[in-house]
Amino acid sequence: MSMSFLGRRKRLLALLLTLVLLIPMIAACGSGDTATTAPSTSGNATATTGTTATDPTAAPTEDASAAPTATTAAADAPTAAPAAGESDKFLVFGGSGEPDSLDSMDTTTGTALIVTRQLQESLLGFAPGTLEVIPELATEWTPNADATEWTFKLREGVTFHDGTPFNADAVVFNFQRLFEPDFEFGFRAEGKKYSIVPDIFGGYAGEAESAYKSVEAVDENTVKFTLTRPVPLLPNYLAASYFGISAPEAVKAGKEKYGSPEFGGAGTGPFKFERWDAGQSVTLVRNEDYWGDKAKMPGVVVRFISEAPQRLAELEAGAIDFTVNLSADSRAKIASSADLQVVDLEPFNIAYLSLNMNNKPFDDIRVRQAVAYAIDKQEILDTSYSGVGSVADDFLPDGLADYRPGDLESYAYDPEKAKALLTEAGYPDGFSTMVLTDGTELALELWYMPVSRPYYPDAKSVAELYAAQLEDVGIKVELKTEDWGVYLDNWDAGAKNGMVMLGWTGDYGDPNNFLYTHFGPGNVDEAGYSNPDVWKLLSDAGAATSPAESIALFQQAGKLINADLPRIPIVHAPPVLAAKQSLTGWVPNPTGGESFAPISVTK
Amino acid sequence: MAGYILRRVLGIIPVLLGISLLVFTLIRTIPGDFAIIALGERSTPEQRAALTKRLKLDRPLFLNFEGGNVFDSQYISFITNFVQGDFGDSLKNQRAISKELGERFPATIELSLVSLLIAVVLGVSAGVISAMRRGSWLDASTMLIALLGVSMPIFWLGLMMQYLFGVNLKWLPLSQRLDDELRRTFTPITNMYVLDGLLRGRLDITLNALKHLILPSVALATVPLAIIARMTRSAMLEVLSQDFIRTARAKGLRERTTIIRHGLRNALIPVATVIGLQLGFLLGGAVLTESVFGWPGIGTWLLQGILSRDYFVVQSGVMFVALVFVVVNTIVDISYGFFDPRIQYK
Repeated sequence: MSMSFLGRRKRLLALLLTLVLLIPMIAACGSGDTATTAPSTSGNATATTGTTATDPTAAPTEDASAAPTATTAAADAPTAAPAAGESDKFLVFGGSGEPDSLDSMDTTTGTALIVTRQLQESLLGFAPGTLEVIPELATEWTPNADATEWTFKLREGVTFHDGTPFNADAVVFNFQRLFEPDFEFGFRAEGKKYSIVPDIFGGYAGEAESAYKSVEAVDENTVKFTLTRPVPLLPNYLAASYFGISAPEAVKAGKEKYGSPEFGGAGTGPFKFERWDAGQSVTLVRNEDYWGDKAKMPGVVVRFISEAPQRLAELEAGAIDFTVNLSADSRAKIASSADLQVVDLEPFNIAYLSLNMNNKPFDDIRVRQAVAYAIDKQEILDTSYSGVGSVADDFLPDGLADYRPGDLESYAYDPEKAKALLTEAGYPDGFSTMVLTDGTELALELWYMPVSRPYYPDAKSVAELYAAQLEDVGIKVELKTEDWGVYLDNWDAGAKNGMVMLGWTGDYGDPNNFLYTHFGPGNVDEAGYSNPDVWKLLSDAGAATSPAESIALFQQAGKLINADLPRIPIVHAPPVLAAKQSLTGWVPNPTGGESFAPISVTK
Repeated sequence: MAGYILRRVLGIIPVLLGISLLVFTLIRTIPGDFAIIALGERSTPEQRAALTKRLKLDRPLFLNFEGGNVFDSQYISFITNFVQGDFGDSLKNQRAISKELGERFPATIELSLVSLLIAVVLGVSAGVISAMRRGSWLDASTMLIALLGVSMPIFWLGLMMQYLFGVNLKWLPLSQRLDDELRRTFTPITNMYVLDGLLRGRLDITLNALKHLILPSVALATVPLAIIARMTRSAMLEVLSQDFIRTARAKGLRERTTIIRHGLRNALIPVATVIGLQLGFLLGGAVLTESVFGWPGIGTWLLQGILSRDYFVVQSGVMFVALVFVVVNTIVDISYGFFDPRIQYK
C-alpha cells in the first residue's frame, strides 16, 4: 500500500464512516431476535407446532406478529401493563452467572435452576427454608409396599404458560423425554443432555443400573412411576429443581433450542419467561393465571453478575434487590449497613480435604489421622469464614443430621497426637514428599481451587492455613493450583496426587447425594478409596423402605467412612445472602431453589 | 485501479486463513476438556464422549487420514461452514452464534466510538491548551494527569469510578446498557442503543443509554485520551515554532485564528495517525472495560467463550471480528483514492 502520511486524517474519517455504515448490516442478523425472545412462550404454542415441525423459524415468525418491530408505537408498548395502583417496578435478582439453559431437565447449574424454579414447577416442592417435601403439581403420592411403584395424584385445573392444560399426559411426556433415549421429542441427537439422570437414577431407561422402568398415565390426573428397584426417596428427588415440568407443546416447538435464549422455557410456575438478553439478564413476568398465590411483584429480572464484589456493589448501589453467594467477609459490611440485610440460610454443603490413598504415605491410616489431627478446623472457620458456619465432623450437613452416626470420632485439633501418629507410622520428623504408584517420589502437593465456592470462598487463604498447620507437625506441602477446567479433568482422571481441596453443595434431601458421591466407586479413580462394605451399606440404605432401617444403614456406613478417613471434612459454611432492608418474603432454600413469588420490595 | 482492488481483495484471503489457523489451534491447545465444562462436574465419561461425538469434535484436526474423506476434519468443516455463513450454535446455551454476534458486536462498537469521541475532543483540547500555556502550572498539571492516565490500569480506575459514582453518590449506573424497565419496552434496530433510540424516536432510550455509557466509556477513553493529549501538545509546539506561524502573527491575524487555522490543522496530521492506531487499542481494551462494567459486548463474550472452551464461539467470533476489520480496512484503503485525489493506485 502506498500512501502519503498527509492523508491519515481522511483515512480515519473513512474508516469511521465505513464502520458506521456497516453496523446496520452486521446488526441485521440480530435485529429480529428481540421479537423472537419476547413472546415465544406467551403465544399459543399449539397453534404454531404444526408448522414448526418442519420449519424451526416458523414459531418466531408467527410470534413476531404479536410484538411488531416495524412500528414505533407497538414496539414501545410494555409487554405486561401494571395493574392499577400497584408498583410497576420489577424485582431484580443478582444471579451469580448466566444460565446455560432454561430447560430445567437439561441443566445442572445453580445459576440456571434458580430461574427454572420460577418457570417450571416440579411435582413436589420443598417447604420454605427446609428439605421437607410438600405438594406442588402433585397433591398426593403413594408408594406400593416395596417402593417400586409410585402413584401421584396431580393438581387439577392448572394450565401451562402457553395455555395448554397440565395433566397426566404432560407429566408422562416430560419424564419420557428425560429418561427414554429413543423418545421422539427428547432431541438428544441434537444436543439435549439430561445429565442429572445417571447421578440420581443410575442411568437412562434400558441401562443396567437404571432405576427407571416406565411412567404412565393412569387417568387424566394420575401418574404412575414403575421402577426396577425400590426407590423410597423418590419424592425427595422429584422435589429437586431438576424435575420441573415443561409445557409439552413448547418443548416440541423449541426442539433442541427449548431452554435457549431464543426460546426460553414454559411451565406452570408463578412467573412466565419474557426475554433473555444474552450476557445481561433474563426477564420474567408474573403469571396472572397462576394456580396458587400470585407473585407479589409484576416481574423479576435476573441479572448475570459473576463476580461477588460486583454483586455487592450493585446491591449497595441499589441496582439489585437481593443476591446470593457473596464473600464471607462481606457479611459484616452488609450487617452494618442501614439499607441492607443479611438473609440467613443454613449451610447445606461440605468443604473437604481429600487425601490420595493411591500414594504413600496416604495409604497409611495413621498418616491420614495425623493430618486430620493437625488441622485446626476452628481456626480455619474463624479466619476464612468470619467464624460463621460450623466445624464438620461428618460429610452430612445439619439438614441431614438424622443420618449421622451418633459416636463420631471428631479428630479435634491435637498436634501432639498427630506427631505421635506420625512417629508410629515411621515419620518421626514428618514428611515432605509423596511416592506415586509407579515409584516416583515428588514434593508433597496440596491443591487449592482457583475459583470461589460457598464452601471454599477463598480457597487460597485456607490452603495457606493448612500449610502452616501441617508444618507445625512436620508435614511440608507445596501449594498448587491450575485452571479450573484442568483441575476437574485431573481430579476425575485420578491425576491429582497428594492433598486436594474440593467441596459439594447438596441439591436434594438424600444422604447419598453427599455420601455415595464421595465414597462410592467413583472415589477409586479419583483418590483410591475402595471399601465395598461402604458401597453396599450406602446402596442398601438408599433402597431401604423403612426410614428407621435407612437411617441405621447410613449410620453404619458413616462409621466406616469416619474410621477410614479418605477425605477429611472441614466445615459446613453458609453461603452469604443479602437483600435490601425493604425486601420481604424471601425464604431461601438450602438446595438453592425457592420461589420468588412471595418476595416484595418497596421501590 | 481495478487491478489494485482485485489484488487487495484477494490479499484478504491469506490473512483470514492465517487468523483462522491461529485461533483454531490456540483455543484447542488450552488445557481443559470442553466436555467437562459444558456438561458440568457431575457428568459421566460416557456423556462426555457422546457430546464430543455429536459435535464431531472426535474427528482429526486438520486432515483426515483415518480413511474416508481426507477433508472430513474439524478445521475444514469450520472453514467451509464459516464461508457459508453457518457459524453454528454456542456449546454453552445452544444459541445461534450469528444472533449473539449481532447483539454484541454493535455494543462494543458503540462503546468504542463514544470512548474515541471523548478521547479526541478532550485530548485535543487539553493538548492545545497545554501547548499554548507551555510551562505554566496548567500545562504541568495537564501533562501530569495525562501521565497518570497512561499508567492507570483500566480495571482499577473502573472499579474506583463505580464505587464513587455508583455506590457512594448513586449518580450513575454501575453496569448494563439500559435500565431494566426501559430495555423491555424497546426493540433495537442496530443494537447501538444511542442510535436506536433516535431511530425509534425514543429520546428516553438514547439518554438512558448515554447515562450507562458514561462510566465505561470514560474508563476506556483514559489511555487514548492521555496519549492524544501528549501527542497534540508536542505536535502543536512543533508547529507553533514554524515560520508560517510567525508570519501569520506578523500579518496581524487574531491569535485564535492563528492557533486553530494555521497551528492546529497542521498539528492534527500526526495526531490523526495516533487516533487511527487507538481505534484498535479501544477494541482490545474493551475486553477489560466490558468485564468491569458488565457490558454485554464482544470482549466479555469471547472471554467467556475461552473460559468455557466454547470452541465454536471463539473460532467463529474471532473470525468474524477479523473479517469485519480486514474488510473495513481494505474498503478504507481502496476508497482512499476517492477521498484524496493526490493518491494514485497502480
